[in-house]
Amino acid sequence: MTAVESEPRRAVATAARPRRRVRRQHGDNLAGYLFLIPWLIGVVVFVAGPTLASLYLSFTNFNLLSAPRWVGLQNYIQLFTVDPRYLHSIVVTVIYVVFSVPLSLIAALVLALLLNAKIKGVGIYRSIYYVPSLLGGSVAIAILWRQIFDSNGIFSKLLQLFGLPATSWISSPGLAIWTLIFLHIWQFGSPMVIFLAGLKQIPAELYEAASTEGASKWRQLRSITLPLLTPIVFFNLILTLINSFQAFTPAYVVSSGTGGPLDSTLFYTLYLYINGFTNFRMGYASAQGWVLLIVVGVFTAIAFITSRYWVYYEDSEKR
Amino acid sequence: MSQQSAFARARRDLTITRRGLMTSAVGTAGALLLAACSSGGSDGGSSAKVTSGPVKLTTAKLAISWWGADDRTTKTLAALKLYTQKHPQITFQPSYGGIVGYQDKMVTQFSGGNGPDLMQVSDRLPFIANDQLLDLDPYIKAGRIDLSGANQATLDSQRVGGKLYTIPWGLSANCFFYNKALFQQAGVAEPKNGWTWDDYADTLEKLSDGLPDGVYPSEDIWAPAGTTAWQPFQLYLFSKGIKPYKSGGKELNFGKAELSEWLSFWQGLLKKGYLPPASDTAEENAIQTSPFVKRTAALYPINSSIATSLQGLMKDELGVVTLPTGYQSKQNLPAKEFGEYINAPIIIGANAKTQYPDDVVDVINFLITNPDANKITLMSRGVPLTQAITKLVTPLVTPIERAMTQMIDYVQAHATKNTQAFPDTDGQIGTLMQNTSQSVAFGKQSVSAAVSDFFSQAQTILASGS
Repeated sequence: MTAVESEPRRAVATAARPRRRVRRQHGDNLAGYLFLIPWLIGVVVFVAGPTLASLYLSFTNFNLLSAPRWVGLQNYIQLFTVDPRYLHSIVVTVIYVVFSVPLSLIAALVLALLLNAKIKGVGIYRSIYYVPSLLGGSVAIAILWRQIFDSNGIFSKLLQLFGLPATSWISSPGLAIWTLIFLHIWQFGSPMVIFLAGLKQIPAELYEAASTEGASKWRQLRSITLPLLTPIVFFNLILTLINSFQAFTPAYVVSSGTGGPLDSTLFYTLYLYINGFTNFRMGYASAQGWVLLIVVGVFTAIAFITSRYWVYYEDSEKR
Repeated sequence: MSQQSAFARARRDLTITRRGLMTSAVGTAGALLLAACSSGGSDGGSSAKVTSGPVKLTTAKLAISWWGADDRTTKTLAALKLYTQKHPQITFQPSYGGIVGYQDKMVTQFSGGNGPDLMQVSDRLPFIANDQLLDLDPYIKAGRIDLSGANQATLDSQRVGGKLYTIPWGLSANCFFYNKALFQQAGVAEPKNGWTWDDYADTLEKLSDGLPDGVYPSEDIWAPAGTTAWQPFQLYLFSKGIKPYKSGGKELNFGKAELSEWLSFWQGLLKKGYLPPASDTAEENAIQTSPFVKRTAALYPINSSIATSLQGLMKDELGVVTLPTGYQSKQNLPAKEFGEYINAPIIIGANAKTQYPDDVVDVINFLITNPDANKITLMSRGVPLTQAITKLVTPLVTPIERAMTQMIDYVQAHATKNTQAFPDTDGQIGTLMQNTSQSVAFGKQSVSAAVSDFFSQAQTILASGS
């Protein structure tokens, strides 16, 4: 009896529940969008608007003070045909990216593996190792870097202990870029945290199974940890790659805004800044900005295309 | 503890999908784009009829900007306070800071239509070329700015298209500062104003014998916080009777011979060990980090307006002399005349769009010519423009500032009339010259290779100018 009676009521209840959920979801969405509004306004006014404006400006001659004058593709043509400093800035940036990206990822991964160990007070270690990336992008650290690597700096003193001559790493054209690469590697904190989170996600059963089968730690790393970590490696790769292409502050501070000595630290973005705000060629600088956007886009696309051959996703096991 | 839970949360949220990655990557890439703002059209400074005689000042709050060390800022603020005491209806909204990024800030403010009413600038050309500065000539003619007792050649060097938009706010020139203690230690006579490049080379040789190891006679001419390479070379060209540019700034007016001679001279001094190795020179990013201040060089090529700050950094007493000249130089860089002039890198100008031109002009007149104001500001921007004020403040200043005054007197008395207004690409040519000098100093290029690179790159830069 009761079962029969209750039947329609349950039917009503089940029919009504989804509808209520849908309405609540819409309400949630609305609230979500409301919360997003400040951010959206920021994006439209301070990112999308200027971005579009810079696209227009990249086809003009614009010195900031007088109205922009349309010149068509001239800025883009000039960049690649008659500006040796521009081509040089690309070489400097590529060297920086090629070395700093893999090296900083390796550093982050190695530290993440070490800090994944179950030891006492590991949380404190993790916090300590994260500190450099909180400081690393700042002007203060770039100034400190100058001190460490100049001819009277700690680093030079250290080399002297081993009988090497005192050199100023900051002011030698062949060496200055390496101090900046090293600065980038030192900021391993945020990829390290992401690697750590990824390591925690790998099921412990896999390792248990592997050890019972007699696999060594090294074999476990190669056959379990690394393959399962590839999505995280990929994510970190994309972030670090974009980040490195955009590097500006350390080069600006270390070279006092000149890209010196002898343009050896003339990063792409630094040359862009010099053109825009020192030479007052804002149209030319905008063209540089757009070329960079395209280049970063291409590199990111390459990373995505190659990823299907080396990134292993748990949700797509069929491949 | 909270650390643990944060990691746990991150772990839960970290289910990475292809699409999620794609969106975040695209978003990040988009954020790097250059922000730029467009400017409205400018009307240009209208030169309305300016009456002479006393003017009724409007009540106003004037925005004024300058750069400089603390000393200059304190003194300027005190002078402005004095002005407000005399004219209570006028107050100020001062804005000041270091020189790094100052010019960028000014251009950006003018670009947005928010330029200050009056300001200290170092390079007036981008503003003048775009009608942003008030033409001061009518006010000078009406006697509202009293420039009697100012050196006419110095004022004329400020004119662009025959008009005076800016006034030197303190006179300065390229010069060499020297460390008297090191000269004494080496037993070498101190240099005198008007010395030649031959004298310079001799002095370096003698200093080299008398100074201990690790202390070099002079800093290199391209010292990054000093005059840098381009300005002294331009003065050398002037002394040879050659203007640096022709065809309205579209072409260089000198040949490979002049540049080779100049670079070879400096390369020779470097090879003899009279100048610090290139990497020591490159390490300088401010006067504080210069070999001169670190006491590893006895001479420093830099602009004289730095006198007070430079002396403030050092215990040794300093001296100052003109940049050496090729005039009457026989072996090194011979030339026809003295070549140097007052380059006035610290000048004052007013916004053409100011609502209060009368007030602004009165403030300029006060800062430049009022005895009480100048007794406060002294030589914090170099030697005062007019002779009367200079005479008035000279007893109140430090020995190095007195030496600077003598040096400026010498330059004004012998200044070349052969100067030239520079094109807007002059700054880029300066950077190129700096790189060329470094390239030779670091031994990356021979003089002849560096010279031919200079000429081909300069051509490109000048062609891109407006």
